[in-house]
Amino acid sequence: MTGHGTTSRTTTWLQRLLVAGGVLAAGYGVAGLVTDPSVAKQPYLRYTLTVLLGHDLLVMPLAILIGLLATRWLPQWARPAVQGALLVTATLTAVALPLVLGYGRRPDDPSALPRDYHRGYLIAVAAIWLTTATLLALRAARSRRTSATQHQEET
Amino acid sequence: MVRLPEPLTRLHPTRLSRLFTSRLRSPQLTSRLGMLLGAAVAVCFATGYLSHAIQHPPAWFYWPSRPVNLYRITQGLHVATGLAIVPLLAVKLWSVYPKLFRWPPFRDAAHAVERLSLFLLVAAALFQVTTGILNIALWYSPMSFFFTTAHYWTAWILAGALLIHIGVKLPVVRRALAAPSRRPTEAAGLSRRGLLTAVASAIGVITVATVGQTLRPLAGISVLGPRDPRVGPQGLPVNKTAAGAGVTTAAAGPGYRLEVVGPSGILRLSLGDLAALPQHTAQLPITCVEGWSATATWTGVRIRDLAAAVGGQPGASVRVESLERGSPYSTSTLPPPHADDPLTLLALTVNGEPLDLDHGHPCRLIAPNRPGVLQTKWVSRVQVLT
Repeated sequence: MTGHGTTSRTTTWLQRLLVAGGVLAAGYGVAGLVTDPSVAKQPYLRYTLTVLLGHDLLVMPLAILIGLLATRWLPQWARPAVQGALLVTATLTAVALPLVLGYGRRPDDPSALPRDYHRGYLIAVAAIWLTTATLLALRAARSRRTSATQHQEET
Repeated sequence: MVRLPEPLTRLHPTRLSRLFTSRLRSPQLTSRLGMLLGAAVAVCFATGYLSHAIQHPPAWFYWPSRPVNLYRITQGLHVATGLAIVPLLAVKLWSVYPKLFRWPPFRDAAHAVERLSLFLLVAAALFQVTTGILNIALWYSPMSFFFTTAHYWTAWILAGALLIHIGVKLPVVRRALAAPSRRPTEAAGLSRRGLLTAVASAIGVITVATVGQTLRPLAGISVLGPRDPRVGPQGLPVNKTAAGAGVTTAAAGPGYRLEVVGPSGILRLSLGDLAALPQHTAQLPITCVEGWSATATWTGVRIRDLAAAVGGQPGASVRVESLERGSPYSTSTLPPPHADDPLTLLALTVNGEPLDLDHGHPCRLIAPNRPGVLQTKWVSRVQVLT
């Protein structure tokens, strides 16, 4: 952990302090989980492994693949904005999905999940892509102007 | 010897991490994202621990009854920051994703331990974010464990694993942040700055789409708010209905009596008796641990007046019990600052109307600066603790 020759002694001590504090806090959490009767251990482990493996082996590769395929045939100048919009859409989807699925609705409580989340999600996604399209249009117009000016200067 | 066709040889473990070609990944990017993420986790941990301590106060803990809206801010911040973590965590994990496939997987024993601690860190982070999102969406079935305690203990694991990670990576982070910002060669796609702008935009969109559940002026544009502070019986959201709590008969019946217990004796009051006592009005929010809140005007009897009527002294705690049975939230204890506060009421009306059954008819507790789960509804008993 100390490794590098350039690392100062203060840094080394700070590192040791952080690691020691971290071990204590994480140990406290693990001990609490194991001893707390209100946490069912097997479902907890199953859930944690599912989200970990689901993220690392499914969601992340899929996101990278979609990003790759979706921007592959785009002109160079359009890629950054579209990649950014894809990122915003993907992370918004992670937050919106449980609401859109709506399993949390309660027949006796109309104030629980009171909105039309399909509509809300579509509005949010439309806002993201309209903004992106506007940015791209502005960019295209600007680059046409610049190239036109350059063209005039050359002639 | 079998020679695999070209695409398959690329999947050999020694080559897997080289599949990822983005030039955007760098220690500089990861360090910057890591610092932002670390700050966000710190905010969530601090506000989350605070909420836990208010509900299960340790001996040293003191929580005031003012400012009235303090808990509303800290818990609103907890949920909003937790949602802002989604894009930060996603991009942070993307920036180090190829390292997951490094070959050989570890250099030595110390390196193996460090990589195992990373599994703990990533698992705890994903656990906290996903269970938090499921909980505010009221979708409990994927979590077949008790959310509250699991989220609390895992917060300690996340905080600990994060401290270990910062400790291990400190020299790398320092070098990365001190290094002159080299202009990456014009790559096809997002620049580092562009990526950070996209992360900021994602945080902005997610926040605007949800924060109206606690910031009423934004309720109209928060199209993905899990709650709407304007929607519910009498224009106020409800977390648990009378039917859900199984109190409909007992709360609506004419036989209702409130029992007030103190050092000098016991009072049994009907709803009419309560209404005949001096009434006071307070503007107070209902603030749910799930991050929504809504202000209303409540009228009723001061808890400190009830306590005084049975010989309670200032500085005593007061226990409030519900008609509801078998729920961890069916009783709550008002610590002295809240019990003595003139704004703490046993409310009989909200916004000028008798309480709806779902808001706690015949009467409910409403106190300043407290989580909603402690604002006991369908109150059947008030006891001065000595």
